Amino acid sequence: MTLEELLDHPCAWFVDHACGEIAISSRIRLARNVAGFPFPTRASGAQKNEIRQEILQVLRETDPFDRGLLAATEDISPFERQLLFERSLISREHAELDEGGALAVSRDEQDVVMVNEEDHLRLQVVRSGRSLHETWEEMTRLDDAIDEKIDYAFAEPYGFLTCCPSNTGTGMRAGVMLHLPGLALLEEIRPVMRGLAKMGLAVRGLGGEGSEADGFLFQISNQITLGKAEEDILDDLNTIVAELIQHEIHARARLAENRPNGLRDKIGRAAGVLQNAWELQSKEALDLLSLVRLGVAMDLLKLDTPHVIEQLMIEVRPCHLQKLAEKELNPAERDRFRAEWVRSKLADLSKGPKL
Amino acid sequence: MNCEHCENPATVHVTHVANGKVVKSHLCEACAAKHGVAQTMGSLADTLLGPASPTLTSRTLACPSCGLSLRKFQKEGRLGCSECYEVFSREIQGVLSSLHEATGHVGRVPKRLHREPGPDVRLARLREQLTDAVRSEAFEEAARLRDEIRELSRKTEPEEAGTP
Repeated sequence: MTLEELLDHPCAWFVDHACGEIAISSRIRLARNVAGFPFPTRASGAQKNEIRQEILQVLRETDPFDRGLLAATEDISPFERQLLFERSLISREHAELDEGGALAVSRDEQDVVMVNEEDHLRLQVVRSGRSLHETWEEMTRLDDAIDEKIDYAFAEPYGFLTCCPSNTGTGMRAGVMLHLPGLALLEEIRPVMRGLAKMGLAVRGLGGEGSEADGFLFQISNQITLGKAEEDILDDLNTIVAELIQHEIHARARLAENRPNGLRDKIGRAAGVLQNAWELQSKEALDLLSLVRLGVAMDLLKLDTPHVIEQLMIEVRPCHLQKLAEKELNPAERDRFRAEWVRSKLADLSKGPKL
Repeated sequence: MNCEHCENPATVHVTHVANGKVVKSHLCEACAAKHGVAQTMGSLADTLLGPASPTLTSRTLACPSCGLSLRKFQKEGRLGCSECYEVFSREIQGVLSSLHEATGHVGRVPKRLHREPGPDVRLARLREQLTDAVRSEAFEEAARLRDEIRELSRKTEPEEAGTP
């Protein structure tokens, strides 16, 4: 599979399956290192190359990468790496690697291995919706398959040894991406976030660590990786995510009940701007699409092809937009093209039964 | 591991470079103090006054395998290799307990270790079970676990004393 083929399809886990759901995706990442080599930050170019060859050799024979994309970072252009980052397939750090890294992606983009990021291996499995246990099942299968052939760095009492002590132990970071416009509109997001932080959970925006929560999308993930078994971490996260989803459902019901006109106004304006704007910035587009997504979910708006919203949430980002335009665009040109693209895709957006 | 100068368990591990060669020293707290090795690595005095002794000082503590210095680890919070976990064990345990409120792993282990888990892992698992038992007010179970932990700690004490 070539990179071109991969990028020609929209992210299946985001676009096809997560349509309208509050829980958009579940993601698990494991940090692993190869025993006997320094971590990538201290490894020489030759050592990194040796590790990369060894890992790629193993992945080439591992399901599902045997049918997927395998490439050294030097063979992927910086622009293409940014595209992969915009699809949440790789981290910002991996997108910015100069050399020595590699990437494996399955055909459906649900399984990814980043090579020589901060650790030798970063395994990532993503599934649509709230499906942490299903995601974990696939992750253990993948981890076991690689463990058969690669000697992982592990020592008692620490567990899996990682470059950053914040990952030591299980090396696991599990997260669920939630769409929480109801709580955000009621301005109840901040207390919820503070509560989550007290429970040892991290809340991040779409772009991972340190990013803003554009489009009311929040990634809730575990912080602790040591002293608690993977299944227990997942069970606790799953319980909290289920509660958050209930909170969001209640928030939407309260909005409809107590502030029906305010809600209609917000959603109606969002639809109006997206259907009529001639210049749209990236964050503005994401926030408005997010409101339209809420409107469709609450029957205030109607779309014949609802998954178009999810697709647009990825397409409005700078690199995807330039790929669609098939040329390089400066920021002002991007804003115009973005508005034009969104207008054309949302032509059939109309009033829903409850508006 | 015992101190190089006496029979006491070695709790201070120093790696330094002498004549271009990496030399490791293992000392007990008393001998370390006698030889002028600072207890707290990278202390304020160290920063202000520079190395107290040109040959044996925490300023030169570095991982013999990957060369990462303690200073760099303290500054950037990243480790260089598996061996760093041994060389900087004291500092790492401090960092781990503040990040995770735990210092022992519970969970998956690589296939090659699928044999009986070591005492550290067994203890960590028992302690976790004990916390759960107390939380769910299963006090009989908690008492049983407490006794088991005591028994296992007693058995492993002679080994544990050698590591900081």
